[in-house]
This record gives sequence, structure tokens and C-alpha cells, in this order.
Amino acid sequence: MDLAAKLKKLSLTLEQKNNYLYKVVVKSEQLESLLLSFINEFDYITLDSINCRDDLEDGVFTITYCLQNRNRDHIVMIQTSIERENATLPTMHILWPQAEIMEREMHEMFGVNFPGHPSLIDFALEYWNDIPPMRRDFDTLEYVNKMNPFRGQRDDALDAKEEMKKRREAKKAAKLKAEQEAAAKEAQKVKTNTSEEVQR
Amino acid sequence: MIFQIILLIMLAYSVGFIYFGLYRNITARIQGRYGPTVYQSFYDSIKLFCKKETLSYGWMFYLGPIIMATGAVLTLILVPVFSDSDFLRSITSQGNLFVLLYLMVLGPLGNALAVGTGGNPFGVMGVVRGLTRLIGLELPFYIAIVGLIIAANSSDIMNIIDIQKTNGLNIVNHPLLFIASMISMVGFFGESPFDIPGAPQEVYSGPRTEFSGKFLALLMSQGSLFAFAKLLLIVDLFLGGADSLLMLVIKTFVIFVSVIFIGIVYGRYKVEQAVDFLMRLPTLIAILGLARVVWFA
Amino acid sequence: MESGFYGSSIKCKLEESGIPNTHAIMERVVRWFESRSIFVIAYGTGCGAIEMPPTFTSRYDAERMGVVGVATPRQADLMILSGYLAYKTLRRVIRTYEQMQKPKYIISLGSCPINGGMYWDSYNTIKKLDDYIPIDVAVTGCMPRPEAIIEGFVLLQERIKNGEKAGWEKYDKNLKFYKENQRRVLGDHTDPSYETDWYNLGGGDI
Repeated sequence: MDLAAKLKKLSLTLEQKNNYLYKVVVKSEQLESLLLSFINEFDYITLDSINCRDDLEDGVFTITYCLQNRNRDHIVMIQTSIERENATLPTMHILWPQAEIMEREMHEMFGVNFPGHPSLIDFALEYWNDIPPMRRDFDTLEYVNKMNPFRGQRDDALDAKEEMKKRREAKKAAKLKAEQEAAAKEAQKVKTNTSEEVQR
Repeated sequence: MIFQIILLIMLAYSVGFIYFGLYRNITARIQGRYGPTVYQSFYDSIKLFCKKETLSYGWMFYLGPIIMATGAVLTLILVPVFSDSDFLRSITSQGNLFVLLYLMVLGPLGNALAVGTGGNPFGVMGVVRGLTRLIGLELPFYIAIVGLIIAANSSDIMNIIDIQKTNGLNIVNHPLLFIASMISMVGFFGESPFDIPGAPQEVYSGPRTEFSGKFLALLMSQGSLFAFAKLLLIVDLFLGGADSLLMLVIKTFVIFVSVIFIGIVYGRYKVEQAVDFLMRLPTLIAILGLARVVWFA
Repeated sequence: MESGFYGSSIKCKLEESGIPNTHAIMERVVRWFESRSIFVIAYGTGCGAIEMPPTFTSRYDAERMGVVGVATPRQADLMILSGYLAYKTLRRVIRTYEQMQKPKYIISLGSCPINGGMYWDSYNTIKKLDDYIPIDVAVTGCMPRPEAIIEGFVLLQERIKNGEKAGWEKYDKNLKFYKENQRRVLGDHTDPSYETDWYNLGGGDI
């Protein structure tokens, strides 16, 4: 479609994932102008979501904007990469009002700053005083062990390995005993038969 | 006389609570389940009485339920119970129908006084809604009562009962007045569609938000006393009174069941919608009945 | 605070009358009534709130046992903590619990209040509810079905009738322990409770 041709003029390549899903990778300096041109020229007017992925090995956040067009039959993902230290992005809440909540969540969970945003305050966590928790260098298990002790075992708790060993040995002993009893009964029967024969 | 008053209060208490238990049972069976036992209201009120801790906001908080209970008890001892004998007729004199109409307002008023001291905004909201609803409920009811007073030429309930013995029941002679007052009765009993002030899904049960323990028990008791008094009033005015305990129970039960059958089926009106409706159709019916009494009979 | 129904004057007269064990008999009678009518506050705190509507409506009717829902904590005896509790919810739950009037009980549903359950490594939920609020009956399951919840109600009724030591007595006696744990996890933003002796005795040092 002519979207690929239009994007080629801006020296960007359009990748097709599905019959309705496309993807464009762009640098972070050209992000805002590209989004504006998507609204004004290409008729992709609905913002679905703003997502963030923490690539710890490369030291960047990968941000994805999902836009839908006016007829609601194509989705375009626009991807950029920004630095992890002092991450900033231009705020989009004037164009799309729903971006206000999405950017607030990203600020709380990843630590991305949005200059000009009207309300960068607590979203889901109250009085949080640690690093933003969705980053991959935040160790949740260590945090949990620091804040909350787990409940210990019950008073009558038993050790699993010992119990299994005991049960296996008991089963073996019972089997042995049953065999011995059967053999003893056979011997008893043979003895009575021979004694009867002797009597006759 | 004191003994008769106490006996009357005990009778109203038991019958009122058993009727409330029956109401919960009937509602449950209509919804396809078994409800609690018939004596559930006794268990509730005794448990509430025996709570180890009750929150109170001062002496006015105490006075609110006491004023409501006073209104209920006074209404009860002013309504004649048996039409033939003097038993359980504690205080009756001429013109007691007007006194009764004034006493029926004492309930929401006492509530308003008490809730104000609590300081809870939900209580204040609920009380404002309750008093607004009262404006709508009173209008058709009072017009119907005025029609009955004019028809019987006296405001003593005993005279109205005596006239019904000779002329026929008022429900047959004045059907429009009966319909108008029954629509108001649905609201006075706290049933849908006019039950918005006390409902637990609305502003956390409105005026009862801060009441706990013995205050709540007192509120429940005065609710059932008041309900029994209103049932007695309707039976005396429209169904010719009762001459034995069996007839009393049967007649009050018939009225009670018809009121709650309406209440189970309907949803809830907002207060503005309720007052709007009550000032149109039931008032029109009551005025038509009044006109028939004044000019055609 | 106001004392209960059988205030000191009636109790004294009964004890002077010579009938043996009046106090014990009256307590037993009152407990029998208390077990027959339980008011539940309509508060769904976690994922288990989805199992409460089926328990209280027509199919698994809980009103048969006298359990009915009310709207405010002032009128309630029982609070059902259904599922996990985030720190945000724990603040509000503590405030609600301290607004209820004694005697008050707590039933906890699911395995999250016992040991963290499905969210054992989450940074925002608590792992052991017993440290912060006393629990009377813990119904296990993830989530327990309405039949299990009704069995929990029956167990609670038995405990009330037998007069076993309830959670609110534990809370009163070990208030310092509970408040320390709450302060540790929730920081200094825990609401004060206006009704406990701790606050009235100048409890700034707890």
C-alpha cells in the first residue's frame, strides 16, 4: 500500500507482520514528527497503547506506540529506543487524552520522565521508595524477603524423604511376611496329606 | 391501663417481628431459595442489644432513636385494636385521627436529629432524601384521610368503624381513596419503588450509617412497632376493624402481603422521580375520590 | 464506649439472687443468639470477591444461617478477606477493622493470606496476614467454592457458640505487636485508630 511508499520518502522501512499489523522502527529524535505525520497525513488517529520493554543487555528502553487507523482495520507499531539513564520522552497527552494515564504508569513502573505532563504522581503503588519495580535489575524476591517473612512449617511437620523411605520399607516387610505365611501354609498342607497317607 | 399498654407493646413487637421474618421468607421463596427462619428478627435484635461495644456521639445521638420509638409507641396506643371490646384500647378520645397524622411524622424527624450529630455525610444525604420523600408520600395519604373524615362526619376512628358496620366496608364505598392511600403505604413501609433512603446499596444505608449495637436494635424495634400501627390504622379505616385476634391477624396479613408483593417486584425510583410520580397520579386519584365524597354522595 | 445490654446493675442483682452461675448461663444464651445472626460487611478485597455473590444469592443460599450483608462497618460483625491484600488495601482494611464494634470476626479465603499463595514473589502483596490482623477462620482453596465458604460459616458459628478465644481479644491484648508489624510494612502512613486504648493513652511511641 502507499504507506510503505510514503515512509520510504522519509527513509523508513515498513515491516508487515500480519494482514493487519505493521511495524516501523525509528530514531528517538524523529519520533514526535513521525507521530504527527501519522495523525495528519496517514489517517492513523487512534492510540491503542504505549508499551515499554527493558533491554538490560543493550542498556536501552524499547518504547512501542500502537496506532490504529480511522477504519479500524490496520494497526501500526512505532518503535524507538531510548537510554536507560535519564530516560525522557515527549508527552503526547495533548493529542490523545488517554496517553496521560499510560505515561503516568510508565513513569511509575520504569522511571521514564515526561516533561510537560500534568500529573506524574502515584498510579498503583502508594508511598513507593525503591527503584521503579518493572526494571529488570529490581530483584523482587530479595525485596519480598526483606519486607515480609514467610510462615514457617507446622508444628507436626514431617520430613518427606524419611516418610517415603519408611513407607517403602514397611511395604517390603509386609510383602515378605505374606510370602512366608503362604510358604508355611503350603508346608502345613503337605504335612497333613502325608500324615493321612501314613494313617491309612 | 399500664398493663394493657405493656401488653399492647409486646403484642405489636412480636407480631411485627414475625411479620418481618415472614417478609424475608416470602421474598426468599419468590427468588427460589429458602430464607432464614421466621424468628430471625428476634435473633438479630437480641444480638445487636448484647454487643459489647457501642459507639455514641453524645446525648443527641441517644435521643434520636428514643424520639422515634416514642412516636411509634404513641401511635400504637392511639389506634384502637379491637372494635367490639374495650380491651387493649388504652387511650381513645375524640379527634384522634389528626393526632395520629402528626405523630406519623415523628419517625423521620427523630432520625434527622440524631444523624446530624454523627457528622457522617452519608447519613445527612440519606436524611435529606428521606424528608424529601416524605413530602411526596404525605400528600395522597392526607387527602384520602380528609375524604374519609368528611364521609363519616367525624374524626374519631371508632365512629368510622361503627359507620362501616352499617354502610358497608370503606374499601367498597370509597375505592379511589383506598388505592391512593395504599400507594402511600408502600412508601411508608419502606418498600420499593419508594425505598431509597434506607437501602443498603445507596449511600451505605443512608440514615443508619453510624448506628450500631443497641441503637440499631431500637431502630429495628421501632420500625416494626410503627409498621404494625400503620397496618392497624389501615385495617380500621378501610376494612372495618377487627373483633377478634384471628380476624386481626388475617386482615393485617392480607394488607401486609399485598404491600410486599408490590415491593418485591419493582426497582427503585430516585427521590425526584418518586416525588414527581406521587404528586401526579396518586394525588389525582385521591382528589377524584375526595370530589366524589363531597359532591356525589 | 458503652457497655453491653446486661449492664452492671442487672448483673449484680442476678448474682446476688443466689442462682448459681448466672453469669455463665447468660453468656451462653447470648452466644447462642450471636451465632444465629451474623452481619457481613459487603467488602470484596481480592480475587475471591467473585465467590461471594454466588454464596449469598439463590443457589448456595447463605441467608439460611442468618448471614446477611450490610453496608457499613459500624453495623457488621464479620469481615471476609477474600484473597491477596496489597499494601494499599491493607491500610483500608485495618481502618475498617478498627471501626467495627466488638465482638468482631474475620474469615480469610484462599491461600494468599496464609503464605502468599500465587503471589508469593510479588513486591506489592503481604505474605502472612496473621502478623497484621487476627484471623478466626481460614478457608483454604484458590478460590474456595461456595460450599467451602458455607462450611467456614458453620465452623465460625460453632466457635462462637463454644466461646473460644476470638481474634478481637487477641488484637486488644497484643496491640503493640500488631501495630509494630503494620508500621514496619506500611511506613508511617498508617492511620491512627481513634477507638483503641493505644491511641487514647498517647500511643505515639508504638
